Amino acid sequence: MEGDGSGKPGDRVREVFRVARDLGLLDAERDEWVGTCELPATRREFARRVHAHLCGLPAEHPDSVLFRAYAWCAVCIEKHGIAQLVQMSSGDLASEIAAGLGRRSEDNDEKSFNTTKLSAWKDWMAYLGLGWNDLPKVSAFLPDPSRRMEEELSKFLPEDSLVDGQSFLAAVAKNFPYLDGGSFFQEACERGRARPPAGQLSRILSQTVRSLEDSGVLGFQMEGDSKTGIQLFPDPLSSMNVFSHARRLKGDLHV
Amino acid sequence: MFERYACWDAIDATKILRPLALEGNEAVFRATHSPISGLVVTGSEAHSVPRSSEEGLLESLSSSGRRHAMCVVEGEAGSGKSHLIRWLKVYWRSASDLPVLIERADGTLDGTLRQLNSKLSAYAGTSLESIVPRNKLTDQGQWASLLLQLSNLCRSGTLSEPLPDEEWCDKHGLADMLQADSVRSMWKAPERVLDVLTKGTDRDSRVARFTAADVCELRQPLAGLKGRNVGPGAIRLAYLLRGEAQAVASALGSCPPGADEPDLSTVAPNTSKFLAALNSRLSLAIQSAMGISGAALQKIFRDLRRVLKKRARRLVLLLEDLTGAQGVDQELLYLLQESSTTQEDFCDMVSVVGLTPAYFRQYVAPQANVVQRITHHVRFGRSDGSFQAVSAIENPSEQVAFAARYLRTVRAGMAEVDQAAQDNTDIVNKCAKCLHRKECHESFGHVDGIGLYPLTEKAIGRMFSSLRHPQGTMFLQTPRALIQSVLAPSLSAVSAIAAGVFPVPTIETEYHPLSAREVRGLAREHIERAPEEHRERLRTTVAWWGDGGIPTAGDEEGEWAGVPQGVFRSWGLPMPASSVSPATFPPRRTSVSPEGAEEPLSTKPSQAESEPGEGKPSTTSAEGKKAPSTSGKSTPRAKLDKQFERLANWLRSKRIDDDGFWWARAEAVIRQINWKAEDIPYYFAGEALGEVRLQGSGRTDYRNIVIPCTKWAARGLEWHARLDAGELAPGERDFATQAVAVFAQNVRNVVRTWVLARVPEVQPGSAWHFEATVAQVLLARAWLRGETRPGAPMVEQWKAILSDDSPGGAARRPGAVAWGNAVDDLAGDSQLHKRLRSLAECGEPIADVALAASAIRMLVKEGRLLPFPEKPPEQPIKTKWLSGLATSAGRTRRALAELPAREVGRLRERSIRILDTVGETGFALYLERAANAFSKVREDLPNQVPSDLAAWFKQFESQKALLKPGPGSTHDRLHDFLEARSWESLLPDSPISVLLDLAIQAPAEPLESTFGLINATSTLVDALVAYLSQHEASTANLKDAATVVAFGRRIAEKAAELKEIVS
Repeated sequence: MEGDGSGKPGDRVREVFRVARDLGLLDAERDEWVGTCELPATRREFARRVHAHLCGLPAEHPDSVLFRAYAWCAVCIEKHGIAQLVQMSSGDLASEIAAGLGRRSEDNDEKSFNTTKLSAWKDWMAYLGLGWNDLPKVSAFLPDPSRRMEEELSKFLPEDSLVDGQSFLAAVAKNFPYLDGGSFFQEACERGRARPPAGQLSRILSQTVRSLEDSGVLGFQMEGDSKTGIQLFPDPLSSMNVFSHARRLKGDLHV
Repeated sequence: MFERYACWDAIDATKILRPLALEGNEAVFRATHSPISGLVVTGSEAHSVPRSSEEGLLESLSSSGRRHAMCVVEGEAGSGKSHLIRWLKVYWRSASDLPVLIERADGTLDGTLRQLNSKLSAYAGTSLESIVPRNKLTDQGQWASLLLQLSNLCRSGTLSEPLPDEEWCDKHGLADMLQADSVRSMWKAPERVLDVLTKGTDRDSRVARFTAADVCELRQPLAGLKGRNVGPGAIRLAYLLRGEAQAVASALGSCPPGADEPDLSTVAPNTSKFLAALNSRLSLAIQSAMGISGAALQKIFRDLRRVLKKRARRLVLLLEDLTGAQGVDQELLYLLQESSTTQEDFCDMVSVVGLTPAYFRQYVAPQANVVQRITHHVRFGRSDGSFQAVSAIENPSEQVAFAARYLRTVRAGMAEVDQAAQDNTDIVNKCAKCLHRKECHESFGHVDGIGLYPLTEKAIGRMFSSLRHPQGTMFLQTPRALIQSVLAPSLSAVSAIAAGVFPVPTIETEYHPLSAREVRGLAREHIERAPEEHRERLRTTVAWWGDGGIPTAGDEEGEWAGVPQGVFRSWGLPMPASSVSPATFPPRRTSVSPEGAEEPLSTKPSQAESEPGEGKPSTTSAEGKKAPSTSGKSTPRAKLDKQFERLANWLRSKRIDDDGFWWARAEAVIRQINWKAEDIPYYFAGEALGEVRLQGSGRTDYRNIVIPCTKWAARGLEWHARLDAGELAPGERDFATQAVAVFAQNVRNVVRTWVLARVPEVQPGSAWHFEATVAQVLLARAWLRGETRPGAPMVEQWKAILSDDSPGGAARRPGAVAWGNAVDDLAGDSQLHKRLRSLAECGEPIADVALAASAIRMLVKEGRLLPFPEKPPEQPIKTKWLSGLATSAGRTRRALAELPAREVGRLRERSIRILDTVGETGFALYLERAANAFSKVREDLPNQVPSDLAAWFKQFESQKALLKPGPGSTHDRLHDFLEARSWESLLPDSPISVLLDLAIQAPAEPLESTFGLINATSTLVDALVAYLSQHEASTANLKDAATVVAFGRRIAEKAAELKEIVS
């Protein structure tokens, strides 16, 4: 998983197998690789499996750097807005993430993140549906977890079922550890010394739920006093700035 | 409270804001007059003008020693010619002079002549009635008369001083042509020319003359010319003019708006001569048609000057618009050149005539003698493209100062204006005592204490600089346009201000282009979300009173989209987004407590981070700040605005004229999406991607990716373009980025849907995995060609299909006709190797073989192809190869179904035959022995079957290599194959792959040739034995000659030998 995307073809092949092993899909048996489970049949199913695997990693695991870096981006957006993030050069972004994540361990001086790793990281994040890579005029990585969330919703939110906001947020924290309330997000907030105000969603999550509402995937409603609802990052251009309940309106038609 | 407040009277505004200088009274004229500076003065006596201002000009013209001046004031319509000339009249100082102002009036020749009559008669001491048109013809009568006069004037012998082209006119029958029925009844040009002269129609920008467009219009009437009505010259000219019509239309088409007539002398010489003939006779024809006489005018005018000479008066003739005298204009110009210094019986005369640059270029400039006699040639500014700018209001500060005079006058009201004129005092500035002055001036600004309310410096500048004539034929950065199209619309809306519905739609005139009315970016997003009843007012306010969007450097404090908060307030208009968009403002700072402990970020986004401005300038100080170019040239910014206008209109009309600006952007986003992450054949989203089009941009079909006319599409494209242009306000970049992301998200779904619809189906709802079919066809083909086999390691099989065909070609398989045919049928599919490499992205370090891995496994294991469409739908060029692929897949399927068993059967049959024939000895020994025996037969019986033996030996020699055993030799391969008898282990239902493996691995070519040789051997032996056996039988009955007995014995021995061989 830590592959940096460079090297000779032979290295890349080895890397592919190593990633497959790390994901628990293949295992080496004598000189052959064998499947350890039923392999994903589609690309999106593979993405789902990779996401699930990464979500389950402890923070100490080297591969957790993928989502820890993502969480760092979420906090960066919270602090500075999305424009600043996407305007960063690759070198700056990699350095900022590396600085934000710190060293792996005391005796290992190797940076947990660098420019070479950034390229592969961006590819993986885009593949997982967590953002966009090099969109025209948006040269860097643009975090946008709406697709990932759309693909994951069925795991914790049955279609057409209404859940209260807190339950929804708890599920988000569990299934998307790099977003609000998630373990990686919490760590990033502590390291970055910033967090969304209590009772208010982060900018990135606010944008995501608004996007999913716009596309008809999720529905939100406010019951009772809006002061007790869950606030979104304020956006006068949006009709939804607070909600008390969420409902999954339809299946993942857009994935 | 300063809200919905109007401090002037609408009626006063109407009276004061008159578009023409001569329409108001003198009091208003004085009150609103702005000093005219920046005049450009040339001419023979330009040196006598001490300052380039109205004062300087007046000083020069009115100096007591001046005996003659011919001053031409050249300026665009509305530039202030009349105003300047009128000002000269008002401030002309010398009491002994006789200033006569001939106003522009209604712009007609009739009106001009009547003024000359009424104003000069009194001084001439006699009536000048004779210069006034006398004909009492109807309009139709005048048109017919004009055409008749023109016709007559084109006839030779009509003019006492013939024009140079008289001969040409005669030769081409112009007189006939102009009087032809079809021309008289259908040609509208004479009507138009006379309308300009008599009704002032379109007078501002045009002179009355025949134009190239008029000749184009003649095309139809000329088609009706018949020989019996007109002479051959006219018929020929009609033919020539019609022949040149295309070139004329083309020249007109390439002529920029507002430019002079195109030069047709080269591209349409006959048209050019035709027009010249008509226009050179037009004045005379007009005079005749209208019953006036240029000669009479000249006589009367000269008589007047003689009278005034006797009275020691100097005539000051101020003619506001010479074009208004067209018809007698040339006579007037001639009169004005006559100087008292050479004509001693004439009085001194100072003449000032106004004319447009177009008139000057067309009628004055070509006459060098006239130009040289101009003593003062005054222009209002430098040439700007086809037009002439007005220097006096070129700078924003001048525009605002100009407007402020009118605003002060309107607020003062007519009563005050008249009173001030009577008292010879300045009119009061009502702002001085206004209770709202502070608040008003803070929000709207002022010039020297004169408030600009309800306008602002920005509104005046933006409205004025954006003025454009829709057809580009008129220059509008003029004082008149400032009054008519900027001041009047707002100052007339008193009731709307009081009712709280200002700004009203009428503040935007036909001269305010749509692109300038648009609000861009985030500001527009906010306005679109505002209550419907406020949207249009907000748009208007931001478009003109603001910056048309949030400024790139960010809003100044107390402003929104460049509009001061007070402006919204005073109109009772809620400012959008009182809670400000996160995207509107720059990044917030992280809140970190002094101790370093984290703190929640502010719930509300912080206010603008941009440097606070120095506050809104309360007075104009834009000295030297050049106004935007008004030449009408299309700048990159203007082009972009035009595209934005199209995009905005797209959502309204569902139609768009997209020249590629927008679909190319959509395609750029599509190309950047990682289609390999999608569960669709990404070939269709890449190489086979259809042409991208916006819905409503023209005809589209199944081949096109159609971007739907939706808000997300329009927004995404617009913000993409804005990001590209780079002119974004601080917070707009966030919004733009997100809009592009939303666009990408949605467009991904559009493309996915398109791809799924485009990929042919194998059955309803089930898409064809054509990549798998490519791999399967290639693999089956490789098997048939003998390049690999089903039982080979998978990696070898991948290599075979990813590599091009082996240079040596397919393995030879003589005798297997159907197999060979199948190989031939699939020969053309060698192209699929390249296709597969592309599909599998073999350019990358790791090829993506996932697309066909399972299909290959299936083919190897089951010898079966994945479903493919028997007859895929008609494909466009890019995917035409899919139709070919389906055909090849059909052939492959048939080949796999039929060939393996048949070929194995064939091989088995041949092998058994060989084995049965050669027995235990093996094929090599068998053939060696046969060769020996046949050699002896050839020696002993040279006359027996010599040709068959020769053929056999030839065949034998060619295949002799087969008989040499050795490791890896063909002999050993064949021998091993025959020895193994692998076909015996085949079951009746052996899988195709097993059959194929056997067939492919069999030494088919040596087997076939050996089989052939052995067959030939056997046949020959049989033939010889049969022959010899007959003789052997006969020898048993021989009882005579020993020779015969011996012969018979030899035959018997030979037969025994052969028998031994074949046993």
